[in-house]
Amino acid sequence: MDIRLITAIAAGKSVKLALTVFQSGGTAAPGLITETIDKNALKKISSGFKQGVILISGTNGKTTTARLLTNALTNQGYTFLANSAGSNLKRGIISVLLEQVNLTGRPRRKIDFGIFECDEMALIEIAKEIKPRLILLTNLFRDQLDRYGEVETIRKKWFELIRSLPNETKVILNADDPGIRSLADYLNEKRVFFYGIGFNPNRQNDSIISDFSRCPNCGASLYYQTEFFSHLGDYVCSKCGLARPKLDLSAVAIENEKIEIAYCGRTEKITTPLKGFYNVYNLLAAFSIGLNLKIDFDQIQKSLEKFKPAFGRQEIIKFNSKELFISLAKNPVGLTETIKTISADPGKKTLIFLLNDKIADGVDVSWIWDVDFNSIKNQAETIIFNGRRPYDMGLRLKYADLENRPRFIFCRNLNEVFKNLAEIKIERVYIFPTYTALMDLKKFLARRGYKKFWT
Amino acid sequence: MDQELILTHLYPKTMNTYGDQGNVLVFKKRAEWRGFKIKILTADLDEPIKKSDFYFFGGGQDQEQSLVSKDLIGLKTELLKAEAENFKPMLLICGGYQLLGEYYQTADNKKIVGAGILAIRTIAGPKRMIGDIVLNLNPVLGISEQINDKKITTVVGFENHSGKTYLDKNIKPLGQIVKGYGNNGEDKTEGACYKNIIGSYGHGSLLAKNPHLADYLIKKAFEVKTGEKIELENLDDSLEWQAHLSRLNYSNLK
Repeated sequence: MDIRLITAIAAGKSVKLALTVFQSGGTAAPGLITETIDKNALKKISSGFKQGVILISGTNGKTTTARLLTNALTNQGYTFLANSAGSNLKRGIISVLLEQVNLTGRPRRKIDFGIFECDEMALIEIAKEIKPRLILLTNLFRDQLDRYGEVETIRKKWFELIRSLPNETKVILNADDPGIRSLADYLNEKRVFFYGIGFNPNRQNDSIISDFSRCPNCGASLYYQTEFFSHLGDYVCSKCGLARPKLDLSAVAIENEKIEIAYCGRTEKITTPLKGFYNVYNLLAAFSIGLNLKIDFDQIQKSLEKFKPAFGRQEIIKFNSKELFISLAKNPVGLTETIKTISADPGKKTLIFLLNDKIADGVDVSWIWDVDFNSIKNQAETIIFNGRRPYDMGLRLKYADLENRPRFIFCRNLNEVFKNLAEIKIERVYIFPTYTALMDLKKFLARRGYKKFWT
Repeated sequence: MDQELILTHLYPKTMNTYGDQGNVLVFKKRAEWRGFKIKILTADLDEPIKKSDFYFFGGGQDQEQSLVSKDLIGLKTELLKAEAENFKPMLLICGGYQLLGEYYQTADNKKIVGAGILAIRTIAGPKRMIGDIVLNLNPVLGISEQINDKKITTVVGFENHSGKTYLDKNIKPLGQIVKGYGNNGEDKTEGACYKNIIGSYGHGSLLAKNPHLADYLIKKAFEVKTGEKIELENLDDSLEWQAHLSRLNYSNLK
């Protein structure tokens, strides 16, 4: 009997109970207590999962990929525990697990998989501790530089991490991101699975922001045969020869909602449930994991076509006669791509920016100046600002070269935001909250009777 | 006013980590609102620098700094040095600021050579200095702004660097730190000014919440180009100052 683990779990569970009684938030606190008492708690608990643990990390796409995957697993009759509702730090994952295990750390019911999306830095400790069956890395863009320092710092740490994992750990990488691709160097080919976009979608990539414009291995310039967005594309290094590898799974055509996917010599057309070019990557990522778990292509396809997005990840909800399109905004590349996606909807737009600067959002808001708003240049009509840094966002849009001077409204709270909305005729409203602002919005909507869908 | 001002953005692809490109946008828009025409040139690795009326150089990752250093030393340094001596205004942020100094000494004791235009030296420190900064502008610049009944001489920004920068005696700091670390976390100085060059660790983008600094640079760019004095037309900067004051408030400095 593991007394330390029992003590740790008991303490965590009591904190959780206390938080529930007092109806306080703080999903990470129980996990933190458990982790403090037994630093191997996560490893011990997850060793009880029959089929192992899958870790997903990267700057963008973690939540959607995990959600697509759990959808496919459910469809196959697998059981799993996932941290979709919790934080993506170690303590957040433990908090989620606490609810589902008994005092000795055993799952209350049979659990096949642990599916954990991990913060980029937290991944290192988590992966080293639990030795996952499979690890998937989506991409590496600038995000929260105030916490991590530089993108290159993370890449270097991941490079070391992957080499420290046992040979059995399968590594799935986005081949279109040179920073991610470089992690596979000197790894046994059999351990690595690459996914990417295998055709030229003729996208304009005029953004100057790129986190790997130079080769991550040798520093020479990268030559791009095709560019998708930011530094994602089909590249080759002019000096050391680092190039995009052969793709194990690829999208070979995209036409509106139809994506053609090639795998092992066959191609299938699938209907995507998610808008936006970047979501093609999330679909490919979920497919890659599913296929590596030996789930049938057709089965994955079936489940993905029925998929519903996560709260605040492009979800559209009806609220007080308005249609709210909510999309988490957390870094320049993500927001630029979302803005591009909504610009395909016709007509003038009402936009709401909820910019916070807490630790989970990134305390430095400079990143908003790297967002490209050009695609909605002549579509913005009313822009509403709230959050802890409304004036910073207002300034960003003041200097964004928007045509016809959109109306700016600064609000002190969400109540005011929705009061203003009531007076606007357009039904569809686009809301872009940072992480903690999304949580606030969720609470706000829940208090006003909107409870559907989210977990 | 039909005057055209040429702005060169130095190393926009290689040094572009912290949203500093907003400074180019703010300079451009504020000049255009006064009727200037702005032409933006870029000069990255292996691309020549053309003589301009204003230069901007932003921050980047450490890895990129040594590439830029190699590219910068030589003809480009000569040109920028001559421009600096001719009082051409420049705004240098973080890595750009360090690279126009004498050198950057890395954590493993390597020296990345700078252009040597500013008499400053930077040495990698053990911890990253990250957070809001507020400074009181050096009075020699003569920049102040009357907002309601308050005279504003502050600059607000966000720093994120591990290099500690030390100024020679003959070069003046941009200001005195009121909040944050500044140049080195030791002597309470932040940034540097030399002729019409301003160097700073402030991201933000810096000029967005500091319109007085933006206008100072626009004015200098025009005056050096034409040899005439100019008073810039006032703009409605209420949003800019609200953003500025909210940072002072946040730091309990109002």
